[in-house]
Amino acid sequence: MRRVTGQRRGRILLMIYLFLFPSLAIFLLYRITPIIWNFLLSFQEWQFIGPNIWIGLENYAEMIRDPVFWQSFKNTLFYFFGGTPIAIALAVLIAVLVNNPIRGRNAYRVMIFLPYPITPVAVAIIWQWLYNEKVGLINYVLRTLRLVSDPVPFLQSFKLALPSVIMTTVWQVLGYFVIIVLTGLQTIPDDLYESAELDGANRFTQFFRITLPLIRSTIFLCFIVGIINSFTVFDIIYVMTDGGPGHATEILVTNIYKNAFTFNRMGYAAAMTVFMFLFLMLVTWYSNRISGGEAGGVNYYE
Amino acid sequence: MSRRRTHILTHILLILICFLIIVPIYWVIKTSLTGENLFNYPPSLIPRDPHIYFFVDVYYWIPFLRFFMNSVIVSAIVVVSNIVFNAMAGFALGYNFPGKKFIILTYLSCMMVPFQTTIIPAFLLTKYLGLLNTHLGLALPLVSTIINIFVFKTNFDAVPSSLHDAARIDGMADWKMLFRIYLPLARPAIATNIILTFVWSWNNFIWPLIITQDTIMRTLPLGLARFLSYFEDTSGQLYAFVIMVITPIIVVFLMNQRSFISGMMSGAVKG
Amino acid sequence: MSLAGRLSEFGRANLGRIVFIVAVVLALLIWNIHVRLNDDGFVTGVVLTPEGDPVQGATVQLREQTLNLLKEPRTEQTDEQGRFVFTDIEMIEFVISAKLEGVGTSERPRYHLYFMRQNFELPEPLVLKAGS
Repeated sequence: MRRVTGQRRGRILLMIYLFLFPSLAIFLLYRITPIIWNFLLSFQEWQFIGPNIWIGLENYAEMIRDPVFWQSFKNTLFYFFGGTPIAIALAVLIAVLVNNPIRGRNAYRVMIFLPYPITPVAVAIIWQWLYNEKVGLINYVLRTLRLVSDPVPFLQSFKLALPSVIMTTVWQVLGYFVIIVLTGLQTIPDDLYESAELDGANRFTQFFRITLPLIRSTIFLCFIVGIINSFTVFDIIYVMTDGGPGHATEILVTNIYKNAFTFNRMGYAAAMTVFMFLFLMLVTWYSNRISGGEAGGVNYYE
Repeated sequence: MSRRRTHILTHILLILICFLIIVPIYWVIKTSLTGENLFNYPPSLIPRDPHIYFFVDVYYWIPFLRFFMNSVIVSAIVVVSNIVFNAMAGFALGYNFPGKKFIILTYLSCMMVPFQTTIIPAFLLTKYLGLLNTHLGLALPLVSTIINIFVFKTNFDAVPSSLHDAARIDGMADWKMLFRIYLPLARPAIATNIILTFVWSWNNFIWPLIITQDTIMRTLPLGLARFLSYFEDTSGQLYAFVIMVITPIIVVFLMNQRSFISGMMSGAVKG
Repeated sequence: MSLAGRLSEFGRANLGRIVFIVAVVLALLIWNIHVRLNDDGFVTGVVLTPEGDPVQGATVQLREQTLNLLKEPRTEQTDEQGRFVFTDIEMIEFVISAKLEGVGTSERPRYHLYFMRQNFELPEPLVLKAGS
C-alpha cells in the first residue's frame, strides 16, 4: 500500500478522490439510489402519468395475495433448483473428461464454451425453433426414433414449458461452469491420484474419494453463480415464452417488467423488486457465511 | 483400463458432447443458407442449394446497418469509459487514504445489486436526465463495473513499489504514473476489461428494451427480438438475422479465446 | 524498447488476427467497389417465341415482390430484337412476365438481387406460350 505522506500529500489526495469520482458517481446513480428509490416507490401507487399516491403497505399486501407473484417466485426457485444441479453435474462430468491429457483439449474447451458469449436473445430464438411443434428438430428426432407418436408442444404446455426453458439456459451456461470446475480440478495435485492408483483404487473410486471432495468449494461457487443467474435471467424467457403459457414460465424479473412497463404499475413493481432484492441479499449473505467469504460479487449482466 | 483405451473413450464422449452442443448453432447456420424447414421434406445434413438471399433481405427490410452501428457506438462508449474509469479507480485504491475502507465497502455492496433490481429507478433517472433514446443513455449504467475495478487493482498491486518510488524520485506526478507506468504493464487487465464489458454491452437486451422508443435507436439484440414479432418464427430471414447478430461476438471470441475464457472467469471469482 | 521494436513484437504475436482483419476489410472494400460500379438499376432481358424467334412489341411487366403492399408494376415494350430494358429499378425481389396479344404469355419467374439497383440480366429468356 502506498502511503500518502510528504509534501505532495494534498495533491495526491486530490488525485485519489478525483480518480474515484467517476465510478462512484455512476454507482451512486445507478446502484445505490435505485435501492432507496425502489423502496420509496413501493409504498406508492403511481401510474407513471399522474400523481403519486402514498398508500403505505398496500402494495405488499396485494403482493402477498397475488397468485401471479407467488407463481413467479416459485418459478424462479424452480429455475434454480431444477437447472443448476443438472448444469453442475454435467459440468463436472465434462470437466473431468477434458482434464485428461488428450490432444485437442483446447478445441474441446472452445467448443463447449462457445454458447456462452452468444447473445441470449439469439439463443432464445434458436431454441424456440428447435422446440417448435411442427418444424422443430427435437420433435423430428423424437418422432424418427419413435420415442413419441405425437409432436410434443414443448413451449406451449403448462408442464413442459419451464423445464424446456431451463434446458436452454443449461445449454448456454454449461461452458461457463465447465471452465470454473476445470480451474478447480487443476488445483488438485497429480500425485494424489498416483498414490491412490498404487493403492489399487480404480478410476471411479478416485473420482468419488479424491476429486469430488476437493472441488467442493468450486461446486459451491457454481451454485452461487446459478442462483444469481436464475434470479436475473430475463432475455431468454421474454423472447421464448414471455412468461407463458399462462404464467408457467413467469419469473420475478419478467413479472416486474410487465407490471412496470406494460401495466404501468410502478409502485407495485417496485414492491416486488424490493422483495427480490432482499431475498437475493439474504441468499448472498447466507452463502457468504457458509463459504467463509469466498463467493462475493458475481456478474449479473448476462 | 489402459491409458490408450481411456483416451479413446474420452474422445468419443467428448465428441458426442460437443456434437450436441454445436448442433443448434450448425442447424441455424444451415437454415439461414437454405430456408428449408421440416415441414416439407426430411432435413438434409448439408445445406442443399445454399443462397445468401435471406441475408440480403434482412439487410434491406430493416435498418440493419443502423442497428449495428448503434450497438457498436454504445459498446465503444462502454468499453472505453470502463477502461479509463476503472483503471483510475483501481489505481486510487492502491493508496492508503482516509475513507478507503468506506469506499471499498461501498464498491463491494454495489456489486451485490443486480441490474435487474434497478430497472425502474434507472429508467426514471435516465428519463429525468433527458437521456432516453440516446446512445449515452444506453451506455450510462454500464459505464463502470466494480469487478473490473478490482481486476485493475489486483494488477496494479503486483507492480513493484520500487518502480513507483523511482518515478517519484524522478519528479513524476503520481497521476502521470498511471498512464506512463502502470497501464502499459496492465495488458491482461485491459484485455479482461475489454472482453467483459464488450460482451455485456453487446448482448444487453433488457436495458435497450426499456430505454429506446424509436425504432431507429435500437440495438442489435432488440432489433432481433422485434423482428421475431413481425415475421413468423419459421422464416429464413429470421435465422439469417440471428447469424448476423451472433457472428461478431463469435468471431471476437474465436480470435481471443484464451483471454476470453480467463476474462469471463474473473467475472465469477472476486478479486 | 523502441517503437519499431514494440511494433514488430506486436505484429508477430498477433499475425493471425491482423491477417484476418485485413482480409475482412479488403473483402468489404472490394464488395463496395463492385456494388458502386454496378448499381445503375437496369433490368434487361429478351422475349422469345417457343421456336426461339424474338418477339417485338411484347409487354413486359415487372412487379415488386414485397411482404404486404401490392405495388404498381412497371411495364416496358420489347424492341425488334425482343429486348427490353427497365431503368432505375429499386427492388430487391421481383416477378417478371411478358405477354403479347394473340401470341401468348410467358412464365412468371421470380428473381432476387444481391443488392439494391443491381444491374441484372435475366438468365433465361421469357418464352411466350399460346393460351393464357
